[in-house]
Amino acid sequence: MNILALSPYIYVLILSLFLLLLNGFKKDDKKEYLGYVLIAFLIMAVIVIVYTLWNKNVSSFDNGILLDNFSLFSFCLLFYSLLFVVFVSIKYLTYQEINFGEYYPLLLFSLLGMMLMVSSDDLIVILLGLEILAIASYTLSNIKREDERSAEAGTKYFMLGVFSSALIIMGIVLIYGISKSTKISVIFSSINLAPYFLIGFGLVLVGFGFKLALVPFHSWAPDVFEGAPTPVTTFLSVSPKIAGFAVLLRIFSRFSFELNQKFIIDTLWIISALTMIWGNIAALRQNNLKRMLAYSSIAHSGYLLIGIMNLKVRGDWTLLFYLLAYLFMNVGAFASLISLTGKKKEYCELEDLSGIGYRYPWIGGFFSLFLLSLAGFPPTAGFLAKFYLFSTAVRNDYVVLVIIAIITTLISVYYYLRVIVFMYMKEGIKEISIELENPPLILTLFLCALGVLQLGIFPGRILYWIQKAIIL
Amino acid sequence: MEKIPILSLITFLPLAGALILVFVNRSRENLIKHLSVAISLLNFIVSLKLYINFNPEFSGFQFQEKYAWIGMGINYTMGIDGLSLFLVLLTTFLMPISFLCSWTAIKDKVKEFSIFMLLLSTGMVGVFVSLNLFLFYVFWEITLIPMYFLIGIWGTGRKIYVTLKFILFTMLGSLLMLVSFFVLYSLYFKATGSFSLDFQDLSQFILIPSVQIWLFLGFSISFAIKLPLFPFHTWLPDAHTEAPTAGSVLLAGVLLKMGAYGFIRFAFTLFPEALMTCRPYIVLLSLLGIIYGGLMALAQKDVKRLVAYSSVSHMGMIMLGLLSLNRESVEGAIYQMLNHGISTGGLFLVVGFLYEKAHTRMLNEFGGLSKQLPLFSAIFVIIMLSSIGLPGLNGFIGEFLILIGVFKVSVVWAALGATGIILSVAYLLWAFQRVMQGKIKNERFLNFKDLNLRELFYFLPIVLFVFWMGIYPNFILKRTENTVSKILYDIKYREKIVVQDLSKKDKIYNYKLIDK
Repeated sequence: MNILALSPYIYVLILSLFLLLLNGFKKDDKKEYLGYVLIAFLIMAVIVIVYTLWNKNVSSFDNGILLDNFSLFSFCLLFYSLLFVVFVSIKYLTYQEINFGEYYPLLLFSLLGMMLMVSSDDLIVILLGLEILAIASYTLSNIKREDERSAEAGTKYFMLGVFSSALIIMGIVLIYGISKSTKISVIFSSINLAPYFLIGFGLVLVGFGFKLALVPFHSWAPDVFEGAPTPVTTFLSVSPKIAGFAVLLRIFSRFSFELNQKFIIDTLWIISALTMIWGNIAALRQNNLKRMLAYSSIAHSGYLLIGIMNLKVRGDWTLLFYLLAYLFMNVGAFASLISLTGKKKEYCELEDLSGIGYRYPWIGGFFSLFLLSLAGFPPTAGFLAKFYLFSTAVRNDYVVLVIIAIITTLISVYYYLRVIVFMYMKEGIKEISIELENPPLILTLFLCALGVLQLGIFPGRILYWIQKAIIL
Repeated sequence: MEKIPILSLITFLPLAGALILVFVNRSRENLIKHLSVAISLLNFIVSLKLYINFNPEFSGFQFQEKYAWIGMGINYTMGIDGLSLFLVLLTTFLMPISFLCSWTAIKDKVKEFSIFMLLLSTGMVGVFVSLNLFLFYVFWEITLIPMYFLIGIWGTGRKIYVTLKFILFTMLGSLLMLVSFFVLYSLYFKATGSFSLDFQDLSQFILIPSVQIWLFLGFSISFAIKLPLFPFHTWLPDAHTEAPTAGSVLLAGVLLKMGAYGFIRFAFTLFPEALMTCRPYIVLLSLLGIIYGGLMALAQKDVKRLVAYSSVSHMGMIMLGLLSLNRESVEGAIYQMLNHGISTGGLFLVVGFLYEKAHTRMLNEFGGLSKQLPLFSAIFVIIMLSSIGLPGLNGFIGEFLILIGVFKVSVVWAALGATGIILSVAYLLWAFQRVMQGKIKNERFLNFKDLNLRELFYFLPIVLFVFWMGIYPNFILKRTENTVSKILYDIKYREKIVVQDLSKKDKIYNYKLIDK
């Protein structure tokens, strides 16, 4: 039992319990201070954890907890995403009068779950982390109890999520039965092509496909994203993806991509193609921005899956770079959307955005930047991420898939640009009253914009760290 | 003074200007207008240094800058030769003129307009000076966004539909070109073990024809949409017609040239064998474009749409010249690119002037303006004759050189191409007659004033170049000759290398360094 290895998790757990107690004892109506406390402690945590544990490969429970560089890098991604989510939530919760202080501890619980997922070599621990994340996510989706759409979101997510978790458990059982081990490094280094193993593996993939909103396991995503409070949507669109793809990376890094494993890769190929096509086409018809961004999120999962397939040429850095770019641009897009909140009212329909570009030029400018990045225009991070991903995929001989990706990217340009059209080229008719007093949100917008531009123009430093973080 | 990165300076100066404008208060419209003209004029003056210091004897790339950027073959490489020198100058020349012509035409959101125009300038110059495929692509895409806003916000008619059609159509081409980049990138890596997207490295990399064809098509589709080559031209009439005047001037004057430039710089040079295979088909499309563009122009009721179709026709002629692959036709094509920029840019300025005064572009509503506006009428005549190609004016030199070159390859092509000139005479003279001559149909027109000082200021440089380029073309031709010879030599010489060495069937590349 290596305490050093367990320290990050213990820290997060204690922090969340601390926040719970703080919430319980201080009978305040405003819960904003909880957010600030969280931010302060979390920033300290990132710095300390990464600084002390980098390159040390601390582990415990026979690699059940493995803090290699990849885990630490994923921790960074998760911490950033959580920090951004907290930044945008603080004022939102006040304006929308969601007075549940439990919100922040729930976020930390989900963080704990995700940390377990990304830093483990053992399927059981990954399952544990997945369940912790899941329960926290269901509750977070439902946090706006009086709103029926939020309740619907939580319930739908819960129903489908529990079912997919059951599938994952069954899958792990079957895999364990054949391989006699639950360690990823043991199971997947020599792929056993026995039927039960493949069924088990397939079930696990289905379960993760649900979590990552891959087609055809994506049907919960648009409804849940639309119904949940927007900061929770932000969280759901970014963090579970980081965790899920990290797990997939761990699994597929062990693959030797031999010929007899071809049909597994072909399956990924088909899922990726379907996800990109369906995600982008469905987004064309959406008038609600949260639903549109949900489908866009689904489509980006499709692109990310190509990153997994890039492992054949040691191209996993393209996936990590894309995740980082995706983090910045997606959080930025949602943050811009969140800035359009008033007292007890939220503006998420396309028509509500008419003329916003002139009334609130900074919001319009930021939102346009993030939309252009999501669409993949140079010189933003989105373009470079896609460039790396697709060029590596072509080197891997997946030319047809890249052509599909390119065409779906073109389709996506239409619906991203449509938002810009409404912001700048339509006349605003409705009276929009939004609360602009939101320093954490503004900070988020700036940081994400900085990230998007920095990654798009001078990614050298980041690429250096990513190379260090790759699973060997 | 020795090593100022002048190309980067010319590329990014407008961007710096745009950043300065961000901090100027929106209400100070006069300041914004003056600043933007000043910045673009400064950019033009700096670019003149390129002209002065350009060495006509040297056929390679001059003023080169190469910095490692992102690694893995993506470098910041810039350079110009005889081909791109004048395209850069054309761009920086048209910018101040575009700002001047928008002075009173753009009434609201002046700050955003100026910022977008300056961003557009950065993108356009960047396209012509980039020697790294990645950098080229970045600048190519950068020109799309400002144009999208320019048409979508300050345009007329169905501007949103038109601008979306423009951007989606162009992006389709760009994305297919991107796939071709990826394939070329990975093939180069497989052959040499190192990454590079620099043009100078890739131009020495020879692929077998069956692979070249696909890459050539991938590259060409993007340029064909931009040029525009029939039948990929459908975005052009709408975009040119509904754009604001400055937008149309830059679209026709510069953006279309990006397509032609892309063809000769990248598609032809990197894949010459594929070029020879596809040449008859592309020639057919060019000829169709010339004739179709001319006929459609003849049928238009909207004078701006007429000029737009004349663009299709002229660019078809330029493409024909490029495809004939001999010195006269390619030099003529390059010359005609510059001519088209000036004369069609001038025509759009003329139409813009009319629209600003009359608020209509319909030919049947005009008439008899030459008495009201004698000075304007004179300028209209000069620009019109330049577009037609009257000897003594710039258009003649370009068209003459092209047709001589084409004639050497095929009499039929030359004959069909020449019909384009005849059609241009028809539609332009008829348009002039309907607008300027005859009886005045509309009472309001009696109030029109002739050109004021500012308008004279932006028409005069155009007229100046119309005459100068018509009488003394050597100042351009002298600088393009060596580059053209080199490009043609590269295209034709390499043809022989591959035909001789094609022995290995299962390898798809044949990497050979050409000793210079």
